[in-house]
Amino acid sequence: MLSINDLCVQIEDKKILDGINLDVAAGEVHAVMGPNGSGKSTLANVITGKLDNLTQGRITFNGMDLLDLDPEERAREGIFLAFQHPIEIPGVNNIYLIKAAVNALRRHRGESELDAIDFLAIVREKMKLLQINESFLYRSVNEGFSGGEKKRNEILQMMMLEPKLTVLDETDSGLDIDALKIVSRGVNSLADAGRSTVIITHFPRILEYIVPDHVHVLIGGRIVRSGGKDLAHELEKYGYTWVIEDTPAAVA
Amino acid sequence: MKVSPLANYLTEQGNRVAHALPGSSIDSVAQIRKNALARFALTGLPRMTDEQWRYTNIRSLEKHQFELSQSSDCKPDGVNISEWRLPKADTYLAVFLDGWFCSELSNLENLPDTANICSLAEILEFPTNANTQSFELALQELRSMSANAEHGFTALGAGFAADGLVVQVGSDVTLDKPLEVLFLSQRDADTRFCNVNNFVYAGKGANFQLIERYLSLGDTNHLTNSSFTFNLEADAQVDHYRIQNESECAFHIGSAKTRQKDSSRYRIFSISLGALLNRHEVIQSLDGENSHCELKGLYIGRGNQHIDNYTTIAHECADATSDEFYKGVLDDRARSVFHGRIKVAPGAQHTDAQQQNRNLLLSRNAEADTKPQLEIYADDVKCSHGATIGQLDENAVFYLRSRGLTEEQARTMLTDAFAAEIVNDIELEPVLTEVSNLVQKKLSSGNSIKEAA
Ligand SMILES: Nc1ncnc2c1ncn2[C@@H]1O[C@H](COP(=O)(O)OP(=O)(O)OP(=O)(O)O)[C@@H](O)[C@H]1O
Ligand SMILES: [Mg+2]
Repeated sequence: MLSINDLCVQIEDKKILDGINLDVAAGEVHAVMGPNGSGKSTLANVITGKLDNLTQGRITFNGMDLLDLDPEERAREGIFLAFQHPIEIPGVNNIYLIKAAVNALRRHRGESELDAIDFLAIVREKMKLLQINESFLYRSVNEGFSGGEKKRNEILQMMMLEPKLTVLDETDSGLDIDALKIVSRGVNSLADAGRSTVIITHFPRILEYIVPDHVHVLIGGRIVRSGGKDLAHELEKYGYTWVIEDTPAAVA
Repeated sequence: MKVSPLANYLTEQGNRVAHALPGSSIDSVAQIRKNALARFALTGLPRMTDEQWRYTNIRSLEKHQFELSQSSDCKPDGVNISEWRLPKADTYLAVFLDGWFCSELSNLENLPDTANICSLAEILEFPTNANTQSFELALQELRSMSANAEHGFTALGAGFAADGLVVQVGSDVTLDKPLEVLFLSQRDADTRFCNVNNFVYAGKGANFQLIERYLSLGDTNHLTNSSFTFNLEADAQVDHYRIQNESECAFHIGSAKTRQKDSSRYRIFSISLGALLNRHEVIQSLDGENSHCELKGLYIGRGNQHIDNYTTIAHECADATSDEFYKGVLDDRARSVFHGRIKVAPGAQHTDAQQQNRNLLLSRNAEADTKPQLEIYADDVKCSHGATIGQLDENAVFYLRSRGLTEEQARTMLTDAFAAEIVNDIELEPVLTEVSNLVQKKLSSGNSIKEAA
């Protein structure tokens, strides 16, 4: 589904990503872990199209050259990022945005727009699952939402847009224990053999609920180690220094 | 001072046409015009060296030789008023064509006996026992315009006093329907000078809504010079909605001057969309305790439009409150000026005055000037002001695009949201609908929304 090849990103004269290779097949869940500032969000930004100043590398998505596509085209092809820091947009109603987004995707797929009643029924059902109060629909996007509410709102959008590839950038940070379960349930409700997920996280806990097929450790803009889901627990036990000492390439 | 050719042209014209204006045979009326014209001859048109006109150059206006609209220019035949009046609204309707009241297009029937609404020209031409009060009110206001003219356009307004509306709503009268005053400029209004003066009196406890609208039937470059004065007795409540949507070639100078007594409330929405050069002044005098005023404004400029909002709120006595919030969106090479003067007189304790002005620039060549001016001579007051000039938040644009909206949709959605903060406060349903539609239409037709990316 997603194939990243030798991706390098430089901002000013600083190398942020330095030769990333990552293949995510349909149906797979990948976790990306790594210390602060190691380049995880940068990787997510390149995938969604916020950043386009690559110095080298290729990214393909279902056979398409992703770098040829605008952010909105990527979204319409089924890429979704749950932001680490969801932005507040005063004056734009949550429901208005979700509806415009859903209809943009439907038009792209050649489907008719949802009528107001059907749309409301679907969005209500998803909100129930995420335990979001209906009043949030009529508030400005994320404005005055608590940290956890913003994260849930991201997942609500994800569930409405039904993406093929979801990137969760620290969606678990700031969620209480119950909210973590609820949000994971939301993510999993969409899981099927045709969809993939990349989870960026600092904590193995979310990986108990959304179980990864592969775990990657990103340090200094490189993937220095990849493994199965047990790698997350080893990281928690031994810390990142353990990976660095264990992997000579990482310090180079 | 050097007087411009246009000012000379207008002064001469004023003297020439004086005899044909309504009420010219009444000495007191003729004298007011004469004095006002003499004053205009002295002051001339405003210059950028005048502090109140520092950012507004009227050069584009001075390129034309404007001719005062004659009552014979007003041609109601063939005007289908239902096309132009506020849709889906039940209103008392007063229609003006190029500055002249048109009774055949208006509908002021079934007004309560305690409310009196009639044309200024008619009152000046045919003063009767029945309209003595209106006649006196009009003369008093015209005299004051001439004597206290802040600038040439005010003097010109009195010097060319022709038509307008005189509204008297008696004590404790609540009008069952809003009063809609519609100023239409006709298709042949090029270089026509439409001069209207409107005087509104709200008796003690009176309560009504007034909708002031300007529309052009064609892309004409006429000059509108329009004044409104409001006198609110104690406990009166007036909601004033103003929508200026004239041709984008036109020149528009307008004002609303209001005096308020104890516990009265005046609220204005000033929506400026049209005209190449637009100036709207709101001059408030809070003369009574516990009086309250709200000034909300929205202006949207594109092309070479210039939009100037000049506002003054004078807190003349204790315990009065004012709340002012203007927002503007500027695209292409449009320019805006916001001047917000707040004066708190000595002794006006417990004044609460809030002022905000926010501007959104959609293009590199657009410009907004904002100038708060606070003069506070009392010590126990709450006054705050804030002004911003900014662009769309690119992170918000990206957020929306990442959800599948095109860049253009994203920018339009964010710009709409910016304007909606003013628009959505409009309580009167048909006005809210009309303004929303006009604003959306204007914002979605902007061409550099894309180019600014
Ligand atoms: N626009 C930018 N200009 C300069 N430096 C940047 C820019 N964007 C990112 N960086 C730098 O790139 C590095 C990687 O940032 P990134 O946000 O990808 O880290 P992260 O792995 O997501 O960290 P965290 O775990 O704290 O979220 C950081 O050192 C950051 O300061
Ligand atoms: Mg990050």
